[in-house]
Amino acid sequence: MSEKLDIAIIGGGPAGLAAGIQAARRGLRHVVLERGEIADTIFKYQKGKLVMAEPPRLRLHEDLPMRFEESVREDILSRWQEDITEAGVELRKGPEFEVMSITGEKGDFSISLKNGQTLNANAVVLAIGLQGNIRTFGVPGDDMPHVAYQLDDPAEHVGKRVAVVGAGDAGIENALGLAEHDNEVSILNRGREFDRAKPANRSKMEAAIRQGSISHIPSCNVDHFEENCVFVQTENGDLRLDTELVIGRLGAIPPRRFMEDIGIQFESEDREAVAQVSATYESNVPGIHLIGALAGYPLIKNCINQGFEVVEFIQGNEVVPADEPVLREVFGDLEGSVNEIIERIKNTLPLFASLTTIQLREFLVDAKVHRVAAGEVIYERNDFSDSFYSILAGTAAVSLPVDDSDADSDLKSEEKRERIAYLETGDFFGEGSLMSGRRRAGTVSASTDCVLIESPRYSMNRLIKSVPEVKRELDRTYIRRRLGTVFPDSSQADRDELARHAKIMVYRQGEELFKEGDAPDGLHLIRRGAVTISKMRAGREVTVNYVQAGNYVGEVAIVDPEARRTATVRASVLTETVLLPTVAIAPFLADHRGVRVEFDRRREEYLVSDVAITSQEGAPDLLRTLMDAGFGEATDLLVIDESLCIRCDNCETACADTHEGVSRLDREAGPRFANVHIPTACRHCENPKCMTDCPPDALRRHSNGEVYIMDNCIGCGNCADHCPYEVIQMAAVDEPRRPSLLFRLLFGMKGGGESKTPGTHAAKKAVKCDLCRKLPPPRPGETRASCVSACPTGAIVRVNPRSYVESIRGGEDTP
Amino acid sequence: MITPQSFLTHRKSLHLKIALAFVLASTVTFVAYDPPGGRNGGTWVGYGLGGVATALILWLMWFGVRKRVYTSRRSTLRGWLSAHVYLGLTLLVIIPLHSGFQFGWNVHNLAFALLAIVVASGMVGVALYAIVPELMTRNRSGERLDALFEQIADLDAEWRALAKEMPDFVAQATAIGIEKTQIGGGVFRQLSRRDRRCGTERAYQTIMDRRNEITDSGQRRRLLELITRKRALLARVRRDVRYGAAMKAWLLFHVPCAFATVATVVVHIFAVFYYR
Repeated sequence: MSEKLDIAIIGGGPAGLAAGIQAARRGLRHVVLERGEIADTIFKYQKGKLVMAEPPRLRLHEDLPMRFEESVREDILSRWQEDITEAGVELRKGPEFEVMSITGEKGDFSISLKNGQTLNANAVVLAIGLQGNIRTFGVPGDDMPHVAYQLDDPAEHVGKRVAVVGAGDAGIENALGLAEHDNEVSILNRGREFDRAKPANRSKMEAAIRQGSISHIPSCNVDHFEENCVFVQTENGDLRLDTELVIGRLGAIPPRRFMEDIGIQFESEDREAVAQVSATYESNVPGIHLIGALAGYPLIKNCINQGFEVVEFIQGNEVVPADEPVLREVFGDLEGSVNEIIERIKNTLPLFASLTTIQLREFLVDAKVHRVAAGEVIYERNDFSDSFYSILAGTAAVSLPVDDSDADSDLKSEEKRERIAYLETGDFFGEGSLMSGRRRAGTVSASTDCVLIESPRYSMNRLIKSVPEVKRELDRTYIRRRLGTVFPDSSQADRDELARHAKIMVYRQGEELFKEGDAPDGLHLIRRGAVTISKMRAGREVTVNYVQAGNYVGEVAIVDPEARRTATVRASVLTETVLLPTVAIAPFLADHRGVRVEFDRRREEYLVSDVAITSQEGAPDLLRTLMDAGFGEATDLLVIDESLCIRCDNCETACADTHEGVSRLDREAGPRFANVHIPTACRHCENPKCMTDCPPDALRRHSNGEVYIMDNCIGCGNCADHCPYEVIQMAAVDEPRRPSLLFRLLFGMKGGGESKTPGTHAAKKAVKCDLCRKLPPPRPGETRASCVSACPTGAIVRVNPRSYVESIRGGEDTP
Repeated sequence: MITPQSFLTHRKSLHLKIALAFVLASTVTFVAYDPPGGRNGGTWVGYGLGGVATALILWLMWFGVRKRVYTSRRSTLRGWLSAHVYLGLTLLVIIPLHSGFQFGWNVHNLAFALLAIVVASGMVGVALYAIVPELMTRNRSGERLDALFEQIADLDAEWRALAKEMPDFVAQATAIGIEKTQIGGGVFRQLSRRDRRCGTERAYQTIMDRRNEITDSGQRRRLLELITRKRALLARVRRDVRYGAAMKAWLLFHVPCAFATVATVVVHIFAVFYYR
């Protein structure tokens, strides 16, 4: 007879170890089964890798004696080893303890192991994560000694020829680590890009390839291995690479087969689908509990907390979740317990219905709850805020200008025709700016007293990425609302018909939406990003215009069924559009004369202005230079007219003087075309890439558009890595001793004081242009930015992209 | 504000209009008032114009301070420069009116002479600001200065490698060409059109004079091409330095003369009232 256990914990990662510790503390008969090392995924990290403790606001259960804080791999592993020894965890570790099958039911599970042994347990906790099954090459020779699937310490290899296969984060981190130790590294990529990787890794990789420290072999497949070499198929034929080491980082196979054999059901066929669990982490098979990455929670802190909680739940104990105090604070004076409120949110807001309770709790940790009195304005049109609102109770009114193309105009909303829409309890708003990064399209105010949940952009983005249903619902709503703004005079039924055919399209930077001469595929409503419009003139492609999110392109050719595209439209940054295919838009146009007349009018306008710009010497090239410099996503661009610039560098001095002695502007650097020079200074992008991965969330955007860094910057450098325009620098900011004005006048020292010798003791932080937000407001019509107001000759200006392009297209006063 | 606008046309040339009005008003007052003793600095109009001119001079001097205050948002430096230029020019009229056109070789006119020099050098500055930026942009043709320096360093490395395989005199000339080539230096050196001591130039002369001694024609061609490219680059960089220096050098004249003017004005005022 085999031993009878209270709990069998399968998987010795953070979640399994935490469950083991808690089971041991409760004096339960238990085992933790691990076929590899404890915390195998972390164990396989590179030596010395920093393990982050995310999310910062989440606390660990105080009762659990398992230590975890941000630290290096080695410290974390040795602490956990001590913690499980201390607690007396029954750990069975080694390949012979791999679980082959689980049968039986609650109270009587049989777990058979690879060594032939069978364990009996009342309850099973599955905490095997997703990393267990490393994908192998599966080609001849993949068991040869020079083929490996992990890299412990890049420093063990020096001066070798190494091929890293796989363009995900693991592959990139290995390749970069090896390249640092003077190895000759090639990275073999099945695709052409590194778009699966974290943006920071991606930009580091792209830089390494540019500098030639790593060679990139795109679009290739490993064919087979021979001694000290690997054969790959590429687009240009087969290739033999001589190499002393091949590291395959091909990802892991989610253990779905194994789980389905046990009887666990998945929600969808989606490869990334997560099995559903109850609030006590119980799966659809009673007695089998799923925690950690299997339940959709890959972060270490969540895993540890869930390990603790699951043991308590199996014991039938109540647990106050670790995020309870945080959520209580978020909910403020809302009635009911945290659980009741969460239930209410789930029942009231259909958008979040598809979330598991754990996912919803995690999402709400970052939220804010507002009570808004009737009549109060929530946000105004043209604000630059980008958070997302859900209506938990009450009614809100959205007023939108009728003409969509006027989204940027500065006219007061009263002077325009308005369309008012009412949103009820359960609706949401603010998704437009969240997606496009642009200003608010309408003003929202409370019609009755409202209770609103405000979610910040980053937590919404995380949710969109992890729950496909949320993204689908947002897309549906976006399309419905956008059609309402573009075709306000059509009937709801007609718009619904259009929406049925609408498709969301995504275009990478430089990708074409359509080409001049193509048969039209439909009308594109630009949702985020910006596009350039170019035409062939005398055998040369000439850029004639650029169009931002909130507008549409492609209407010229669809008016006439015989017509061809009259211009090429290309994404100048990552762009998303709603495509209304010709099959749907053509009959719609036939029924709506007003829209057709409007399209015809725009076509004629373009004919005139496109000719105007192509006939001006240099204007199309200037537009091209601007687009390459990031104009397409800029909200505010610094431009120098070099025919006025006397190179006195007063702009830099002024910037340094305003910002603790460090100039955020490099006048000399940056692209030039004719007299127009775009110095290296922040463009205040619509979708700031710098904000994508800031651990302390220190990068913020003010409602007037400026992107700035708060004092809680930890100096990790992620933002500087992400910025494609190199406008963020890492600098030791230490208030310099500044000589007095008299001293400076007498001895000619510049205003920046001793900025040349940054303080040695000050920590490096990210610094960038903040449009001088700390200075007093300027006179009307002037700018707050000190670089501009300190220019003696008026050479430097801050421009709004749209009106600047209008001035280039119109040919007035072009610098 | 969309397109850059020169300080000369700041706010539709507001300061030019103010300056013209000021000159006109002063002239009218001067003409209208004809005291028994004749028009001169000692009349009430004379004192008035003198006082206004003194205040104006002090205000013009204040520009040096304003330029270094970066936090003011009440005005822009462009506006100040515009006013500085146009109002400064008015002094050329106001002061002769103040003196009743009485000129002579004395300390009073020394002050005016110095002031005229200051204004003239300021006009040179305005002219330089109008002409040189364009020339500089064209000369640089979109490249950064340090990129040009890098290109020169690359050429030097190539030159050194090539010279190793060539006759001794080439190696000697190369050493001079690389080590004795200097860019910039003092103000005059920055401003001068040619640098006679330039190592590259000396090496070029030597090699040209003795080029027949290089027997390998391929090597000779490569060497001459290399030096020619470096000379062209050097010329561009030196032109860039010269332009940059020109836009600063006039200030070395303008500012000290301005201080001297203030000093002589103080002497002038003291002399006038003390010896009255």
